[in-house]
Amino acid sequence: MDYNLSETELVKLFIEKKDERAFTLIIKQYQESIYWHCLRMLGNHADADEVTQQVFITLYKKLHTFKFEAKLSTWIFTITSNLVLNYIKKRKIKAFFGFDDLEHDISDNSDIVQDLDNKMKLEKLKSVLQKLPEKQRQVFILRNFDDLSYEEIAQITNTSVGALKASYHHAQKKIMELMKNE
Amino acid sequence: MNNDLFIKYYDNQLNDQEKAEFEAKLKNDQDFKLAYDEFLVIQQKLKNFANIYINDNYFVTLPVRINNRISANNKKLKIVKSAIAFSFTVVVVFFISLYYFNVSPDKIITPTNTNSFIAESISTSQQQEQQNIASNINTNTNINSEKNTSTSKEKIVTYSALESDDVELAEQDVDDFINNYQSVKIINIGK
Repeated sequence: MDYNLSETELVKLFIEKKDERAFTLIIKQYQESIYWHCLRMLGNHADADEVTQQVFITLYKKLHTFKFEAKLSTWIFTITSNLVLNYIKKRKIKAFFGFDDLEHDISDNSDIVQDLDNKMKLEKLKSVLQKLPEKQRQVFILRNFDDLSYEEIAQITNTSVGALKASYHHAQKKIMELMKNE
Repeated sequence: MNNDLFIKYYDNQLNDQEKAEFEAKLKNDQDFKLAYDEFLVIQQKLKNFANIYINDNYFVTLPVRINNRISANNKKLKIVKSAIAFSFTVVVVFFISLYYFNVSPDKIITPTNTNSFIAESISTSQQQEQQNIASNINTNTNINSEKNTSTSKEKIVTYSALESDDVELAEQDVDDFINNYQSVKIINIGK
């Protein structure tokens, strides 16, 4: 298989010929951006890993419905954002009923992030981002870390550009306040 | 107040005129520039927090783990589909057999029709027993005919006995038959 295929060709190859190698190449192309988005949104590796896997499993099932009207990256981020927000809801419900394992995120982060400096960075990032409401956090991360345009974020979150700008502005102000103490 | 402006400039939300005014102020107003530099330091600090190095091996093994999960899901899906197909087949065969053996649904015991079903079963078993006795008579005595009279509790049994022993045997069997009917007429019509 030609490894220099465009993502549109990879998607067509997977849909039309069920080529698993094409799907693996799509995973390799997007795994890092999806994982980092999930990690920033969720704050720990175990949850980020789980949701990243769920994103690609969903993608495997739903890729045949992709219409090539939007960019594949936007479509994948839409799936990711929905799964992340659903995961946060489930986590809140679990926490409410006392089923959430509070210990697991610390131990799992220590497995994946090996040196102390990186562990501290991750903890600080988590302490700042997790204080934002989910929707604001989502907009802030998509804009600030994933470098997406407001038009793309509007497609992903199904929100108007004006509302997104306001949301981002509020998030930035809160972040400024929180970062002053760091 | 400045923060709002800094955020808009940093996020490229200012129009050309506002942008030009902002940049002019940065050049001319030292305090404004210091405040904006402080804003940029915080932004850089945040980006630095997000710049985390994780175990390289994670992204090497991730596609393999995803593909393994997809394969496992596909296997589970096949099992579920097979189970659904099997259950559907069983249900279809059941209903076809109900139709084929002409068993009406009210013959199926349910909590509402249990009593009627038992009553019907008893009457069926009694009829079966009577038929058995009649067939016994047949084997011994060549019964010629068996008629129901106008009342269902009366039975007329006619037989032809060739020998006297046969008559006795027939009468013994007919005794059992009598127990099941209020009135039985036995007529030996001879040869």
